[in-house]
Amino acid sequence: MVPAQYYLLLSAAVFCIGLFGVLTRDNALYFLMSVELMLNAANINFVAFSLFWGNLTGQTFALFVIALAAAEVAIGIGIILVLYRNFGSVSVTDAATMRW
Amino acid sequence: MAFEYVPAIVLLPFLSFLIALFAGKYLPKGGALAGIAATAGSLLLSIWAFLTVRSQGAYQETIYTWASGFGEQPWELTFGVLIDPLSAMMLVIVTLIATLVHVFSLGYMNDEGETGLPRYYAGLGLFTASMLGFVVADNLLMAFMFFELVGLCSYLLIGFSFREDGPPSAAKKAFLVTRFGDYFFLIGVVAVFATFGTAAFAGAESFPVLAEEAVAGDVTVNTFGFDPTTWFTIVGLLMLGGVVGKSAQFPLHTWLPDAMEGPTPVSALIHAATMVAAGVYLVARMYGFYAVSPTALAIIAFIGGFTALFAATMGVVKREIKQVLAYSTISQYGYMMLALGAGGYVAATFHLMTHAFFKALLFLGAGSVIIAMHHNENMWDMGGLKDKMPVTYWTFLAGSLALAGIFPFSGFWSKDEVLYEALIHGLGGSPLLLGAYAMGLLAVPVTAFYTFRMVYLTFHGEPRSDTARDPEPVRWNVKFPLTVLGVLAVTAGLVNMVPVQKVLGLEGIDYLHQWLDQSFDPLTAHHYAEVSPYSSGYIGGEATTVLVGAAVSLGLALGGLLLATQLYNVAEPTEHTAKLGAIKDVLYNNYYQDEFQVWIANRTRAVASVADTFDQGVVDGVVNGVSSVSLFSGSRIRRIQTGVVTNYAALLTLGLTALLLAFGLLGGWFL
Amino acid sequence: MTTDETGNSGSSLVPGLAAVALFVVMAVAIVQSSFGTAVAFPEGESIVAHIGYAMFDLQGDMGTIASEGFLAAFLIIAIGLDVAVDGALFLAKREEEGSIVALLTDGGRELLDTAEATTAATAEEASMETDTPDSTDTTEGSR
Repeated sequence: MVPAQYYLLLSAAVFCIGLFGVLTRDNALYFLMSVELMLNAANINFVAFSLFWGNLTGQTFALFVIALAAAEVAIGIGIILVLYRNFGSVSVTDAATMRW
Repeated sequence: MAFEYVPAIVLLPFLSFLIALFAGKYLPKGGALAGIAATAGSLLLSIWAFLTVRSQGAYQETIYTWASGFGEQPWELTFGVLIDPLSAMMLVIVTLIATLVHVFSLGYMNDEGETGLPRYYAGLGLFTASMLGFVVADNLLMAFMFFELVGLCSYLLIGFSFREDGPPSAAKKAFLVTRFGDYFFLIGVVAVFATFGTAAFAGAESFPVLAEEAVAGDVTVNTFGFDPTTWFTIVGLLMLGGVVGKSAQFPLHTWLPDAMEGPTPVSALIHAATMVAAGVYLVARMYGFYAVSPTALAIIAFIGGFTALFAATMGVVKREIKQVLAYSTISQYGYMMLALGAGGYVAATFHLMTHAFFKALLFLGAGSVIIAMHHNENMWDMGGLKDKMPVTYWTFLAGSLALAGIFPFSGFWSKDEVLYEALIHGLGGSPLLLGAYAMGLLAVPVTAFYTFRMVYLTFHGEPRSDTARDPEPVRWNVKFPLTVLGVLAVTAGLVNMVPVQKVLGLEGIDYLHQWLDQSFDPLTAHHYAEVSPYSSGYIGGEATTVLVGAAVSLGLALGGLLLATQLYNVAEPTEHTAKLGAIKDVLYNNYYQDEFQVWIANRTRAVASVADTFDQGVVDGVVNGVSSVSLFSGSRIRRIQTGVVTNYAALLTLGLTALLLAFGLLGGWFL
Repeated sequence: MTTDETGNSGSSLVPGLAAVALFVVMAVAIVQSSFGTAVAFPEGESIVAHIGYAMFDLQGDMGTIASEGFLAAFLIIAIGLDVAVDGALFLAKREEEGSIVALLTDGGRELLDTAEATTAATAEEASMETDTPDSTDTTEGSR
């Protein structure tokens, strides 16, 4: 059986790739994709530990995370539309009025 | 059990304060009815407590311990009630006068269309509540707190008409002058705690008892290296500072005449039952502590005697009716201090009671006259009011006879006992007391003179102005309090007819003596008499001394009265002050006491400017420094709030990394 | 929406270093840690079927693999998805004079033009005034 560390390393890698995307891109659509990656990093952990403990809770929960990700994308796309309508672009750097 | 309801006596007026403050403007009469109901309820409860003390004796209970120490000397700071004959009597007096003042205020404030009534009645309620809390206090610290509250309320009420020039300034003066005295009182309270570790008034571990035992050598207390008697004198005189300030004794009396700027019912409350009475009551409350120090007693007696004469002379030339009454108040409280200093605990309490009745009566009578005269207080514009306002006249006359000390009105009995105590204890080997007695005796004809000068100018002769010819009528709410107090001013002296008892040999009519003996053991009148350092001396026998003393003071009073009749009981009285020559200016200007105090205040300007520099430079500097540091750092740090999501995400990431690193390094994850 | 109008002009790879650092920290911690042997699932059982049991709180009656019941979570997520779809629709539509009209399809150019002249608030109003079907046609034409 594959050691648990490998799953964790994979998960951390996927999470950090998603994070890298969030940090370096300013297109809101990239953001959505990156966030999807980060959520799935969490899913990898759920499934891995579900197998590790022989308990199905983690697997089931991963399904729910996928469902929540869908909801998040729906809302996220809506927000991007509004963003685009108000600023004429989908760059997150333009929506910077909530600051000092 | 009546005693369980004692806190309600204090809380009811406080409740009326809250009601008047928050709901007064929605209520009819601006909250007056709530105040009347609350004080009348307190009065009933007080009478019940009074009767219970009579049947079951005194009562003391600690209600709430709000701070307690630990270690070798565990201090406890508590709130509690002490209902003994002295405080029960005072409760009845205060609640009775507060109730009547509330009723009178209906006539004086509501009917006159004053504005700000909720504020007025809130002030009255809080004033009454503070005084009642002070009266029931069972320890010195609680008494001090309510003492300060009383001072605050007097400030609020004297400055009631804050849009005029006079009242705010008078209020500030009253506050500052009494606060100057209270400062010494505060040091005295701390000294009592440091010395005895307790501030309780009653009980075997109370500080008066401990002081007595320490002087006898039975216990040792921390006297900071002084001889116990010397140290107790110092502490007693420190606390006397507060008494002198509140009871308007020389040299801190200057606030009281100015306090006449407040509404007249407030003046009645201040002078008869609450603020000014608080000082004398405080000395009576811890009389056992003063009784062990002959020096402190002598100083109290001398201040009292001097103030009695000094204030009476100033009352002679005043033009405003309330000013005359103000100086008479100072003078009468001087008598009480004289009695306390002369070992006459019962005499002082007696005079406190009778004075409360007749002075409240005189102030309310003056208020009635002021209503009639459309708020003109100058006596030279009055005259001839006798026929137009008979109720006011006859009650005012009863109060004046009591104030002047004419037989058989209440003031005669109490003033006579004060002078009698001073005389016999002076003859018993205390020449200083004889001096104080002489001053008290000299004040008697002066008092009678200015009192009847006031009566004649106000009520007799021909009217001297249009308003006096056609005065505004007053209603039942003015006449009712006057009638009640008028009856009391005539009859209150009968509770303690010691001279009659001594001359005729009747036993058992000195009810007040018996009453004040019913307290806890060390708080009784005869115990104070045993502790006090005086011995008695007589001219001839006891009865002869009584007769001689009474005859001299009554004769002097009648002399003053006759002189006033001669000079002022004519159709068209004229001012006779010119005959006084140079003294006139001195008296008009109150012996230049105000100027003197201003001069003293100016001498201390250097100290004040140092304090000001410290305040502006160091205190304000620290505060401003802290604020400018936060302003500056805020203006820099806020720049990380760029509004760009990416930056927030980067900060979050860095924070998480740092957190993981810290945990990992501490928890050994990386080993 | 084919081109990113701001391009990558504002972005740089420098902040990404933070993500790399986080990965390094996590990786070191993971490699250093040790886990016991895995329990794994029993042979021959259908995992998918058991997930189905767990979703409807049947795991106690029918399954052999340990799990918790998720019926409540299932229903709540169902409602949550509904709300998300409604919310997305709400955000995507815009209200004008009481009626809901379709999303602007000019790529926001008109808004950008007016925003240059006036403040953002007035630009919003101005665009709403001119945002009639006719003008939509013209802007579509210009596109």
